[in-house]
Amino acid sequence: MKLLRLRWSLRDARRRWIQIVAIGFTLAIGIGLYAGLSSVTEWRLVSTDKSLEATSMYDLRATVSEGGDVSAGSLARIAGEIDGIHSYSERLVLDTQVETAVDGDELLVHGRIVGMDVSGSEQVVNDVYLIDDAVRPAPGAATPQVLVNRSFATFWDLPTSGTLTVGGDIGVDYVGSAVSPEFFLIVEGNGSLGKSNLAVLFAPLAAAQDISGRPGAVNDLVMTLESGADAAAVTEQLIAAAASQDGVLLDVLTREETPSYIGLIGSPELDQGIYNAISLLLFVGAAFAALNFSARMVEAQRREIGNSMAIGERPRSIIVRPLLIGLQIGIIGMILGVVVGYAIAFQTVGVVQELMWLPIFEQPFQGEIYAQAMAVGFAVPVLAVLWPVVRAVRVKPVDAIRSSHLASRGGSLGPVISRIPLPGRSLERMPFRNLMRAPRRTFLTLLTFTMSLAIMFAMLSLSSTFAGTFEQGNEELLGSEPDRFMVQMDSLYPVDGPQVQDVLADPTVQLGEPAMVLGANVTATASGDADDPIRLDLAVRFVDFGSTVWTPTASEGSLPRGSPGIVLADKAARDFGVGVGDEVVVTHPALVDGAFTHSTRTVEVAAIHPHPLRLNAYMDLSQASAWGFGGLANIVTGVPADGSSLNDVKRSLFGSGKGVALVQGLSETFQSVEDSQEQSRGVFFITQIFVVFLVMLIAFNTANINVDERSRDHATMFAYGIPVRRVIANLSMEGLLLGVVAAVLGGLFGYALLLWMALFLLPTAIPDIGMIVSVRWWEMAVSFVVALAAIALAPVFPGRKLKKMFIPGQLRVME
Amino acid sequence: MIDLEGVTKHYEVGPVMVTALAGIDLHVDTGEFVVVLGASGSGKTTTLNIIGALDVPSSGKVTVGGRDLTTSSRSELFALRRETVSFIFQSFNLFPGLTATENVEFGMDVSGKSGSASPADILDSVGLGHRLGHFPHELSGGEQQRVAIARALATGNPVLLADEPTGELDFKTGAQILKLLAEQANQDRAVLVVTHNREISRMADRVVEMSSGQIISDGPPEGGKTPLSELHW
Repeated sequence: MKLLRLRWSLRDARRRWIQIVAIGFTLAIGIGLYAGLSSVTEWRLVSTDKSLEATSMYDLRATVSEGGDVSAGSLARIAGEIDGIHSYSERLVLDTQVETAVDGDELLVHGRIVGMDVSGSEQVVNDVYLIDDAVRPAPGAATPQVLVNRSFATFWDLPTSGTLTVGGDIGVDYVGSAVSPEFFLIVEGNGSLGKSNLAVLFAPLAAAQDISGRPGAVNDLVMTLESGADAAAVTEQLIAAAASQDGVLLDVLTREETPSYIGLIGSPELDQGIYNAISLLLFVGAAFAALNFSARMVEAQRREIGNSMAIGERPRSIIVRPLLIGLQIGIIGMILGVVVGYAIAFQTVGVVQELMWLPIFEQPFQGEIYAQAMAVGFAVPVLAVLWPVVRAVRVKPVDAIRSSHLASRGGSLGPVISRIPLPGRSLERMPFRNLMRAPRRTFLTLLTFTMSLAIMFAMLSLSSTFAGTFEQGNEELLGSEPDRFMVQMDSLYPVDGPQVQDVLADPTVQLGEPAMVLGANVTATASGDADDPIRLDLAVRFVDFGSTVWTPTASEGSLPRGSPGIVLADKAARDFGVGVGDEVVVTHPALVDGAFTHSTRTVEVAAIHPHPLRLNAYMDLSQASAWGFGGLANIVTGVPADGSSLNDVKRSLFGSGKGVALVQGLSETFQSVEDSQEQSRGVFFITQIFVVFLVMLIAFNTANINVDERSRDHATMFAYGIPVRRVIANLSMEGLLLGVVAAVLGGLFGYALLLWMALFLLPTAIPDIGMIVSVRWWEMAVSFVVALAAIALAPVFPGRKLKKMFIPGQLRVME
Repeated sequence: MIDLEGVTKHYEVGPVMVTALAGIDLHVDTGEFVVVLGASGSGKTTTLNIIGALDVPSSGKVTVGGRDLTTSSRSELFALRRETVSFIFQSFNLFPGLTATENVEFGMDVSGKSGSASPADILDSVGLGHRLGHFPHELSGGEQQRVAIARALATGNPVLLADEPTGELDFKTGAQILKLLAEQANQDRAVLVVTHNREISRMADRVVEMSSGQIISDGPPEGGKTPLSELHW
């Protein structure tokens, strides 16, 4: 008997294999998206760990503040005296300008020389990883030898070796390409654009000292810590020792605070939260599809079930046959889920590797993740089939075997809704009437479409929310001057000194304004947990609030020109729980009698600015003196003079100016943050493709089932001379009606999902950015139209079945 | 109105060739109420399907309403079904999503003929003036068949083809349906009813009896046309 059920069920499956495979595939997309995306997160994390281990990335990095340097050996000596430091390497890291020729065209880009031990010694912290044929630079070469960072060399397709010019007129030989942990992911300078215009040169320390004209100097120390060492305590000792022994202030960064590391690790909570949300909706959609399908299948077997009951077969035996269909769907879903998961994972890996390149990239099968997804994917159709089957076997046999026109149809809303008067001819009303005839079935199909479109809406909107947030950031920074740039000085210089004045007087520069940026730790005093107040590291920028070129926008309050108030980003103010008029405590570097120290003061919040980055805070330039930095500047902002481009400015300032570390368009400064989200957007795009495919699959499945179920209706229409194309048009209209309602509901659900992600998930995962929810309606409209077109066109596929129908055979089909 | 000349129909059922019609000749005029009588497998429904352009003969000539179906294109056959013939089925085949009125409107819409009678009038004429807004599943079998007849009448087509129209109905209801069909012949329609019920054939103008794909008799019912009130089954 069991074998008979199995054979019977397999025959059912053979008859409806298209629907079974389609639903299995729907589940597979849910399984695949969850498992595939989650696997990529795991792969990325595992590979990042191994790559960082292979190159001994630092646990702590100490940099001499404000462009200063110390004699080689002094930082190493300090490190050697502090408990908890395992290994350390001194470096000289300086910005420069790099010139080369690519295909005959001159290339002038921002460069960085990293002077370090490139010997390959096991003791080296933050070592380089050589690519392919690269060789290690010879320390004593007549012409300095360097390695070029891989991303730059790959982008410009540089030969294995060649020559470069740095600092205006110093020739160097590059002997291959390499990566180091800070540059696995380019998140500084121009963000991922840095692949093309950030040339990092890894050079022997002595060579770097020669090139930069700082013989015997270092300014950077990278360290690994002993297991269990207290990073905060080590940091304190480092800073104190450097201040007392060398009179310099050290900026210390942990590995976890390093932007490239943050980008590499990403935000597992954010990733997983989004993946879970998408997968959940897909599973729900697939569950409705399976439920709908199985309910229809059981309905089609109503008389057979009645007959079985009439001859005394036990209900538990009767339910086996349809239940086996559920199992078949589940098994197909699981098998295809692995395939889809791998397809998604490998597509996503392409996106990941495009953005970040890791020397070690492992892709082990994530059995646990797949097992979780497959368990859910298997349970969904089985549970979905159970409900209609159990419902069917509870009907009286006499009802089950009745002819359709005598079968009871009580209880549903169908008759009520169907009486809604409709315009048009009977054929035009038919699609709506058909939908209303079976409201439960319509509702389930509707929900399936709705879930898919909600995902599409949320993914597209999340992408546009990121883009909108970055656009707003750029608008705020650029004001009315889209070419505005910033010159980063390599140290603090007097405003009236030659370094700053040279920049201001440069013929390529106009509207130049000296300014200063200092890191500060800010705490709110008025709100929050008094024992554990919110502390944020902010970049306080001293700018002239009286400037006619640019000032921050005060969305609340007013800019405190000439007074000591601070202007906080909206996101920072919200995180602190403060508003205009409240006070914050600022701990900042101070220059006292020519020496750096730290100072703490209470400052009133004078205004709120709308830039999405929480990091940016502003004070009036006049207040720099209160911090001990009066008359000094470490940045100059300006716009290119008429007839000059940003490249001209870079060339001119690097060529002639002293003390210039970096020239950067302000539109590029936010690029790095934007690019760090590029991976998410790539994943969203892949997800969207699968969602559109899912919508098409469901639409196709629905149309196919409709054609099967309504074969007698269609035969009757043909018998009355209605052409096949008109029947297909009616089926399309039916799908379209559902699709339009699903689009509205999907939009609402999607918007709710977007709000949840933007207002709850993202602030937890990316606290530094205040997301501005933004929906690009035209993009949304196009996507929805594509989805609706897919739904409307779906009945064309089973149209062949209609054309080949043997009409008399269908007309005489008896229940 | 209907002419069949030497019509044959063969079906391939696996390796076996089955002859459904073995060369039949039939002529039906407007105003005739003809019953095609025969046991299961005699070829009566195949004949009806060929007349209604639902199936094509293997050989022979079929003319309906002056149109030669054997040389007509697919679209011409569709047009014939819209404009010339109307079907009434054993299982009614009403559209479950449409009300009684809308099912009748469907008949009007497809033929494109807007007669003087409204769907409500037509339903009233078949005794269903009180069930206009009901859906098929809210109607009894007899009522559903009357809606099906009303739908066929609404097309205004000159040929009515009914396949076992009383097959799912009790005697009383079936008699009402036959009365309705007989009345249509009086309104200048050719009405062809297929049945295996010999009793029904007694009320026809003419009975065509079939067996094994051949017409074995064609003429008035045995014993003459009998009033409906004297029929029993």
